[in-house]
Amino acid sequence: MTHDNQSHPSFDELNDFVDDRLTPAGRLDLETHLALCPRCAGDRDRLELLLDQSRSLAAEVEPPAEIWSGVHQRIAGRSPLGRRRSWLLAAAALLLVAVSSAVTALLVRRPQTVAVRQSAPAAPLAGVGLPVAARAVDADYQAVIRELDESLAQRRAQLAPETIAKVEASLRVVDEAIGEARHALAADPANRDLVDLLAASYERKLELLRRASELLPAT
Amino acid sequence: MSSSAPYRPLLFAWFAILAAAPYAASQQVVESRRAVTATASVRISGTFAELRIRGWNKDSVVITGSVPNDAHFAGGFLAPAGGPSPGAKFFVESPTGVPAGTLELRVPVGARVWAKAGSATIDAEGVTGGLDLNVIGGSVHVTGSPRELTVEAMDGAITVEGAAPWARLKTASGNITLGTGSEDAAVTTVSGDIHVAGRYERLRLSSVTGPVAFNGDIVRGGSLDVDTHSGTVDLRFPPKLSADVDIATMSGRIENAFNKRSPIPGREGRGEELAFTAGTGGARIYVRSFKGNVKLSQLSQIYLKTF
Ligand SMILES: [Zn+2]
Repeated sequence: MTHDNQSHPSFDELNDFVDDRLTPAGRLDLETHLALCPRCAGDRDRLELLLDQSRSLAAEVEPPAEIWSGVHQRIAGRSPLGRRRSWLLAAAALLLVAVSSAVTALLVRRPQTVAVRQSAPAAPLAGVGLPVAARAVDADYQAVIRELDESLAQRRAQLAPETIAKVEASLRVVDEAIGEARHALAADPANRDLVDLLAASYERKLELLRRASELLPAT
Repeated sequence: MSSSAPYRPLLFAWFAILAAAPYAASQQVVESRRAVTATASVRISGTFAELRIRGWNKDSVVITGSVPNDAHFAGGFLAPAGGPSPGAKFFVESPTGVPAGTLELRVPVGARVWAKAGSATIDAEGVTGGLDLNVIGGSVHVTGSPRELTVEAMDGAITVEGAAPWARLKTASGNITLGTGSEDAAVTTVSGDIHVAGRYERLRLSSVTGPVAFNGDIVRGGSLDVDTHSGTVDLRFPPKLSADVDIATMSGRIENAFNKRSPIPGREGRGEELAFTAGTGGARIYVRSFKGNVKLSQLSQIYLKTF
C-alpha cells in the first residue's frame, strides 16, 4: 500500500481523488487509506463539502464555525449544474486506463519513442503477427471508444451545444482519417506504418473523447 | 494513526468577496490572500473569462479581480493550524454558464497551478513549478519555464514561450505554438496548426489533418517523432544536423531541400520514402505521414541564432 499511516496522501492526491482524476489503481489505494485514517477521511470530507457548496449554491448552508473560518459570501441563484460525477464516466475512465495499456504497448513498439507518462507497464508485442496486431488495435480502440461515446451521450444535456458541435466536428475529422487508414490497411495488411498511423488516429480520437468527457458541465 | 502529534483539523478559510461600491454595479470584487508553502498547489476552475497567473518570489497566494454579481465565487485555503497553507482551491460559477470575470492569481514561483475553464483567456508567467491548464475555447499563453506543463484545449489556441523541461500540449482544432525547446515534449492536435521551434531532446508531434512545422534541432541521442494523417509536414533543421532520418508516406510526396538525397518510391509503389544519416547521426528523426506531403529543408543562419 502506498499510503501507510506514516505517509498520508498529499493535498494534490486528495484533490485528485475528489475531482476524480486518479487512476483506478490510485483510487483504490487511496480509498484503502481513507478507510483506515480518520484524519485523511476528514480532509476528504472537507474538500467534498467545499466542492459541493461551491457547486450547489446552497446559500442557506453555513459551514460549521469550528471547521470554517473567515468570511464568505454567496450569491443567490440556481446552479445549472447537475450531478457532479457520473458513475458511468468513472467506469469509462477505468476502462480507458485498462485498455490504453494495451494500446500503449503498440505505440511504444517503435524504438526510442517519446516517453509517455503512463504507469501501466507496456508489454512488447514483438513477434505478434501484424495483421493480427492491426485487428487488435482496431478491436481495443473500438471497445473503449464505444464506452466513451456512451458516456459522452449521457452527458450531452450538461454540455453547451456549441461545445458539442466542436467535439463532433473534430470527431468527424478523426473518423474520416480512421476510415481511410483502415481501408488502406485492408489492402496492405502487412504495412507496419499503416498500423502505427491507424493507432495514432485512434489515439487522437481517444484523447478527444476523454477530454470531452472531462469537460465541466455547461461549458 | 500517527501518534506523535495530536491531529488538528485542516481548516478552509473562506475569503471575502468585497462588495465594493465604486466598482461597476454588475461586478463583485474578489480579493483574498494567504501565506502558503513555496510549493503550494492551487486549483481554480469555472466560468471565468480571463485568468492571469503570475509566479512571484513570495510565499503567498493572492487572488484578485472581479466576477459578475450573479456569479458564485467560492474557495478556500487548506490551512493546517499554525502554518502556511499547502493548497488552495477556487471556483467561479455563473448561473448562465457564460464566461465572465477577470481574475489574477499570484502564486509562489514554485507552486503548482491547475486551472480549468470553458472559453477563457489564460495567461501564465513566471511559474517554475507546474502548470496544468485546460480550456475549451479562448487561448492559453504561457511564458517562462514551468517544470511540468500540461495544456489542453478544444478550439482554443496554445502558445508557449519558454522552455518547459516536460510539456504536453493538446488541442482538437486550436493552433499550438511551442517556442524554445524542451527535454521532453509532445504536441498533438486533430486539425490545428502545429508550430514548434527550438532545441529538443525528445519531441513528438502528432496531427490528423493539421499542418506540422518544425524549425529547430534535436540534440544528440534525442528523437523527433512526427505522425500525421493528411497534414503537411515542414521540417527545417540546421545545416549541421547530426541525425538518422527516416521518413515515409503512404501516399504523400516527400520533398528534400535539406541535402541531395532523393526520396524513393515506397513499398509496392505506395507513397515515398527517404532515409539518410546527416552528419555523424546520433539523433533520430522519424516521420510517418498517410497522405500529407513532407518537406525537409535547412534553417537559415539568421534563424539559427535565435536558439
Ligand atoms: Zn492519512
